[in-house]
Amino acid sequence: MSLFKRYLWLLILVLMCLLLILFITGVSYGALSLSISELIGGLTQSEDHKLASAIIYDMRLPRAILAALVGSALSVAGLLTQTLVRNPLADPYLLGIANGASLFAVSGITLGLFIPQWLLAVLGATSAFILVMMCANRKGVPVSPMALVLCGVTISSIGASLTTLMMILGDEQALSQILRWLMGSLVGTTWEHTIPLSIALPIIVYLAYRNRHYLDLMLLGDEKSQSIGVNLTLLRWQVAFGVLLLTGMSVASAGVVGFIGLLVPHICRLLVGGSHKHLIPITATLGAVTCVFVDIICRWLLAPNELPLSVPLALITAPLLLSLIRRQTHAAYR
Amino acid sequence: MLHIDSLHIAANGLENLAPFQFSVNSGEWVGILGRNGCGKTTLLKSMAGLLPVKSGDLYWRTDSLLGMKQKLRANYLALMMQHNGVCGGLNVSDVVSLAACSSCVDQARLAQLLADCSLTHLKDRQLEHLSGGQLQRVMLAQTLFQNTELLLLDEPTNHLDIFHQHQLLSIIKQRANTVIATFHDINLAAQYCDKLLLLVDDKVASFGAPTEVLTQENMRLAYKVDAQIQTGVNGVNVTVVGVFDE
Repeated sequence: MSLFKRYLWLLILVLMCLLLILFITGVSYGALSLSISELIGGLTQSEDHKLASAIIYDMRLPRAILAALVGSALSVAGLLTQTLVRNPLADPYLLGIANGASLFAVSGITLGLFIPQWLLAVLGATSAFILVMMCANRKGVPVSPMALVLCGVTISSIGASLTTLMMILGDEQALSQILRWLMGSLVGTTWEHTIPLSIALPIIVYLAYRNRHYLDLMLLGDEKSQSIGVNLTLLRWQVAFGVLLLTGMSVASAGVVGFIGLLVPHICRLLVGGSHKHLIPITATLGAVTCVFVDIICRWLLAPNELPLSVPLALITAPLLLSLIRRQTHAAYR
Repeated sequence: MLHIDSLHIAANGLENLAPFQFSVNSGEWVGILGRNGCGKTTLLKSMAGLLPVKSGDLYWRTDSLLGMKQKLRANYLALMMQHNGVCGGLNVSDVVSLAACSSCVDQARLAQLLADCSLTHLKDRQLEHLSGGQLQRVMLAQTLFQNTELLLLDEPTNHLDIFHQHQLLSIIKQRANTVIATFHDINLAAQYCDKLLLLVDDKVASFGAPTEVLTQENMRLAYKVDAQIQTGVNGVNVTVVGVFDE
């Protein structure tokens, strides 16, 4: 048994400690860096550290928490999508969610609509999702992974093209706002942003873990899993709906954060194998750690400018994944 | 004791299999033979309840197999398909134990089964890193782990060399299951099965002991081959001496 699998819960404990350290770092570091006394003063909301308190509680703490939530949600959504379509290359945006959300959100920016951006994103995500599921569905049979992939990719492309059209029609000011959204950004996070995911994420992760056996069963061929007695039709819809909730809420609050939903589950699979019993907890934890870490990088690298999340995510996680794959391939030939 | 009662199948390429019936005693093996595309797999899947049947039923002792929900039926029969579509980086132990419901994976039974199928040394290996013979044993172990009396196997010895073919079939033989399996290899079927079922042109042309079913005339009708049948102490042996026109 691999080392990581055997000591899984120890590994998760280590990751949680790392998360705590990153939270402290994220909350102290910034345009106005806080010393330890200011940090403690700010956290305890003492009278002498009103400014520190405001910085922490109004800006950095909700942002760090949302980063953890979004990272965890997208990673778990990515894992669920990969299980749903039985393909390790799938990401949570496969079901058209991101491009649907983008289309509606970007249209809102371009057309100057007075509907809140998060609401547009949720509406767009849901519309695209329904479209994909309806196209992929065939009466009487469980929705097939292949159909989901094809319909998802097709409708995502339509969404992407229309989004580009909207971008062209907009002015330059709108364009920079749009680009930031399309690449994922946690600028301007408030406590309200953290509410939906802080409710939905623990519930969905708990449900996924409780039904980890059925998620494993989804990896078997259709006929075999049905012959064991799995209601594949219902199960696939339930998993897809879970993906919609996690991804839609993430996109609504942070824009389109790319790569994390593809790479984190993949890295975890290489570390602990394919069983959801191990994958779910570690994916959720590593996703949170990764996103919080990357958000700090985004603020630090080109300070005072802020990078969008997708850029360092790709640059950091991709080489890590490549090196893991190379090591794995060598092991297989031993 | 399995009793198939006027089973009428019309699905998937087996347009209209005429209603048929037969009985099998507990512990007996039935081999289904027929040309490529004659509907052996469809027949098996219909019997497993994965495809709807027009009429008729299967009875295990007195229980109607097709009348019950899939989950309950999974306690009676286990199906092993020709092509397994497992993916996702699961290892051998994971895959085999999937056949049981989650809260009741009996580790002792799992270990025993892996030992019986000579898989103990492979239990942490991922499926992608197994050979054809090993993979087939894993799928068999998974089917056996479901702990049913009746086994439906679709070409269990496909792609296996003669060692692995006989190893696989002897693993099953050591247990007391009732087996219905499709075969391409007629001699292998004749060696292991108590009864054979021959499918020709949308009907069950013959059902009975290998000596009754494997006749020169049946070989000509079913496979369009000219065969010589030898019956000896080791059972029936079919040698093909020529082929007829399609």
